[in-house]
Amino acid sequence: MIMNLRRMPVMALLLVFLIVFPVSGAFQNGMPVHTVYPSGDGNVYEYKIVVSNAGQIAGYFIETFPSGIKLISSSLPPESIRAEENNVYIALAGGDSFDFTIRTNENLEDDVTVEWKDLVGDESGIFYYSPGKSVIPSGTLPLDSNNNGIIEYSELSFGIITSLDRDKGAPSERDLRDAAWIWYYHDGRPWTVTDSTGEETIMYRPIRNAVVLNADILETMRSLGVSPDMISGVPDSVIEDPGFFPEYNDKANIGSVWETDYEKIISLSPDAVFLYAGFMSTKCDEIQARLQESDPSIRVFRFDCYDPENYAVETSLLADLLDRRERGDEFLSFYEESMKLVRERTSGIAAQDKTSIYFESWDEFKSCANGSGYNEKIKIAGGKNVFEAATPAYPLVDPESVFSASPEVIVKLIGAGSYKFGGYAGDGAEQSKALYDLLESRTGWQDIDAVKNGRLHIMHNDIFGGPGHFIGIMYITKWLYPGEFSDMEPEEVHREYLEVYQGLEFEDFSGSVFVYPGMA
Amino acid sequence: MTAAVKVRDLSFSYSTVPVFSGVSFETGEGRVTGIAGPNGSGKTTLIKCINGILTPRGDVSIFGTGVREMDMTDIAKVVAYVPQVISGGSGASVFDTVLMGRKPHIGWRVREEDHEKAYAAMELVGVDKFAFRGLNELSGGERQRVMIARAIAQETPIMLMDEPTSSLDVRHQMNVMEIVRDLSDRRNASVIISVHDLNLASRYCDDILIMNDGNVCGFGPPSSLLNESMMRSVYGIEAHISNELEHPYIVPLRAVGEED
Amino acid sequence: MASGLESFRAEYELVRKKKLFFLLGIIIIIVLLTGWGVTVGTSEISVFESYRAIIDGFYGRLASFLSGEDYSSTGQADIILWDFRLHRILFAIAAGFGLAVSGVVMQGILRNPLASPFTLGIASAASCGASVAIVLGAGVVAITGSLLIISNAFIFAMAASFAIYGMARRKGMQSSSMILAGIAVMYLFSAVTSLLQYFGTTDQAAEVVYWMFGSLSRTTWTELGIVTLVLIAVVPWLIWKSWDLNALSEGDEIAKSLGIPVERRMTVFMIVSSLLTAAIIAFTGTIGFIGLVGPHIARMATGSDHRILIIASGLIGAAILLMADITGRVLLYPSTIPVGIMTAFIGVPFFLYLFMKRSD
Repeated sequence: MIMNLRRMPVMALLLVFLIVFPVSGAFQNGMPVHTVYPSGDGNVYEYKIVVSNAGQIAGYFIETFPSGIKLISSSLPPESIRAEENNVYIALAGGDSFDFTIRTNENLEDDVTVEWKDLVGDESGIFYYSPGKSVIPSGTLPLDSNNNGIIEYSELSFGIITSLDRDKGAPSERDLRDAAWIWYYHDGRPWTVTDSTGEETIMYRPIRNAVVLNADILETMRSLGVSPDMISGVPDSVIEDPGFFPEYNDKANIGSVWETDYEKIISLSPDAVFLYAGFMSTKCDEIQARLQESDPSIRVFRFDCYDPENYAVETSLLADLLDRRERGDEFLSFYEESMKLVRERTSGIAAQDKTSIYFESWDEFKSCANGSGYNEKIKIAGGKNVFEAATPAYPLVDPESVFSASPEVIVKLIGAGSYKFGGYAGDGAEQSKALYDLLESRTGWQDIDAVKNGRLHIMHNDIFGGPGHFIGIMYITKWLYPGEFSDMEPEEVHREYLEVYQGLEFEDFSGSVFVYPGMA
Repeated sequence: MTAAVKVRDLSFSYSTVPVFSGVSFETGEGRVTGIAGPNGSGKTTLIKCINGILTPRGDVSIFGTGVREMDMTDIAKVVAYVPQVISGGSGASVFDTVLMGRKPHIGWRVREEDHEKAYAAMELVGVDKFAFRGLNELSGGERQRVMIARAIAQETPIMLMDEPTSSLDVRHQMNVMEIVRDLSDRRNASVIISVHDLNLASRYCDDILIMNDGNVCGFGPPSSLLNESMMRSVYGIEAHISNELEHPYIVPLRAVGEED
Repeated sequence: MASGLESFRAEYELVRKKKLFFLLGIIIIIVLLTGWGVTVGTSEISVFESYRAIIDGFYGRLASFLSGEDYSSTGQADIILWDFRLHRILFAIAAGFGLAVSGVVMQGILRNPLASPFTLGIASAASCGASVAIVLGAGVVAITGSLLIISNAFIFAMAASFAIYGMARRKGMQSSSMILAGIAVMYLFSAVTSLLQYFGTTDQAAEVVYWMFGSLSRTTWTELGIVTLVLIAVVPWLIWKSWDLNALSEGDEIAKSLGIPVERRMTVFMIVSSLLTAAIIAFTGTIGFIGLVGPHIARMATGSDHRILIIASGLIGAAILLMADITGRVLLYPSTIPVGIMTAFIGVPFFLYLFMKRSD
């Protein structure tokens, strides 16, 4: 409010000037435009101010800042610009636009006053602009000693040499490694990355200490060859799944999207937090806001990494973000190979020839319909979901309607709720058999085609829900069209996924149920 | 002749707070016994002890049999009870409520005879007009009369009434007391009735039991008990006792001494 | 005064007839709903086929029963009607009846129009038992089917009723002490359920929530048989003891003066009513509203004589639950709306209508 009150006479004065002295000469097309590019790391703030539309005048600008500043660089010749305490003095003789960069110890949120005079036209005035809060964190590159925004070869090599020398001014190990990374991967310049929501972030350092709140991102990171050393915090579901995530078992537990341990996250002082993008988006927005409120320098990246519709795109964005393009391409070609095989062959099947399927999640008679991820996957697999048209997206269906639909294939999902067995947690054979018998003995099911023809299958969510969905989709496809897909071997793809991309031994899970009954 | 109700050395306390102690009296068939005394003297509690709603120390016998030896249904066949506070709670109709008085005498089925007895009882106290209205739609006085009707329908030789006239206007007070007198005179019923109005008690009761602070201060015919000194010691009032229609009549003059 | 008695008799007959007509009306409604319900479902079976399948199936089963052979179904319509629809409809009738009767007994002994087996925490105990099975018995459930959930729900519900009995007994069996003990039990079990949901996975928490919605999808002929047996064992006894309920609902003192052993009866009534509720909701999940609203509607229509009130409440409960289940199946077919949700949608407007009408 104080600012606004102070601004009032300035505004009035400006109005008087505009009315009394009609604009001529200097600012023919309005006032000069000041565009401010703030940056800072919490100790030092930099503001690059680009002035355009300054007009062809011979005169001066006096820009008065709310606190003491230091001039860092400028596009003007050195004799035309000078800084003293709060003020920058600029002499102009022609030239329509220019820029200059200042450094200060405070966040300049308050107005900057600009006094100007055209010596030829003998006109003058006062106006103001606001630099705004500096929000971009870590705005400086390591080892960029001349502060020109580029790590030059000379700067890097000087840093390396001084560190070998164990000289007094040697850069830290961290700075050195980051600088080398940036010089190698990004030509020594800041680079821009994009997450699944389209949010762009300018990066000044690579990610060294990340917290991941979405286990599907973690699984995908592993496919991209990210080292566990880079991750300091993982969600509880990862801690509780030592079979699949053995190397993350001793990481900090940061809870879940539902119950997030903010204190733990902050105490890990991560440079990046990975969160869901579309899933639970309101909750995730809240988490992001809360984290950045308490520490604005935390960068939050949002990815889902479970949806087949955008898994490839997300994975490639994630690979870019982590500078894992090569490995990413390799993994994606493996992933796409399986998905393409399924898509290409099933896209040729006419609607009326598609095999009908009843899909049931771990809740009894809870199926899926349009708008659910399960239904999308069934569509990719080439199946005709008998309850596709039902509402809501995850409907509880009338048991009678399953019977009267008499689907050709039935798939029952396990791995959660009351059916928490099998999968990467191991075992589950006995329970799966019991469940299978129970399903077969359901009222009327003996007369359903799927059951009569032995096409009732149990599948674990570990190969259907997250990034492993392509394996589950392949299984379903094979169950739907055993003849057409006799050459497809989902189990082998699963083996390759684990051994090549996940660093796990397939044989370690030889007793675990992923599908029941197993493939003949 | 065995007494209808015989009470010997009865005492009762709620957890550790004594309500009354050492109460003894007896009443014969066809006699109306009034229980009088100031507020909090234990009248209501004494009545509840007689038919076993509360369990006192000491003995109560009914026609020579100890109450403790009788089961609830047997007691209900000989003792009826009219409570002081009546809620309209369950929303039962007047007829259903009165018919409940027949409960100790019947099994599941209600006979024609029971209907008639219930109707007669309703007619007697004048609630037959609203036989099918809910109890919760009636005034306090009307409810009180319904309770009396139920006790009458119960057809017991002994009746316990806890201030049955408290919510009634003068006309209905007279009406109820006439019914009580009639029950004792014609059906030979013994009625034990707690009353606030000493003049009503004086006029309609054969005996009066006067209680104060959990003790019996006197028991006998009204004419022998209701005198100035009793009024002073029990109620703390100065009163003039005259004689109207052959019964003592109390005209209170002023309060004396300190209130307890 | 004979004329007074005559006119009283005439009025009494009129009131009695009104009540009987009301009962008859509800029975007709239940029959009509049943007739509608058996035709509701997949469009592949016509109304006519539905009825034929019932009749044919009945004679077929009777014939094979008499000749001692195993009955083999004669086609899709037969299976759908006999294996899916009939027992579900009959279960809705039985469960609705039982829940409402249980409610009327509770309201009678507690003398509180808001009392129901749910007020005493019976339902929250059953939910707690089910969540214990779902959350802690994960994996085991696959082997035992839903048996573990059912038995746990039942055991917890009965345990709750004995806990209330134990607590209330120490303070003397009075309605106020029972209600207070019941509310304490309800909050305790709700807290345990919440705790289990909190520690369980999201999916387990969701499953507990689904269980608490209440559903008739899980019923079978066997379960119908069990519930029917409980009803046959309990309801005639309750009707036989309806005088005691009448007296109890007038208050402890009056009941005692009418010869009722109050504490003993209250205990038995509470246990029996809990048993009835537990036996039903163990199979269906929480269906809360019927035990409250069934007795209320019945009381408005037939008065508070339990000799008729018990049956009237039961019939209204049956009608509401049946109606709720059928509409829950019809509205979004093939999806079903859980019957516990539909019950409130069906019952509340009806209840409000009667309530507003009566206050005029």
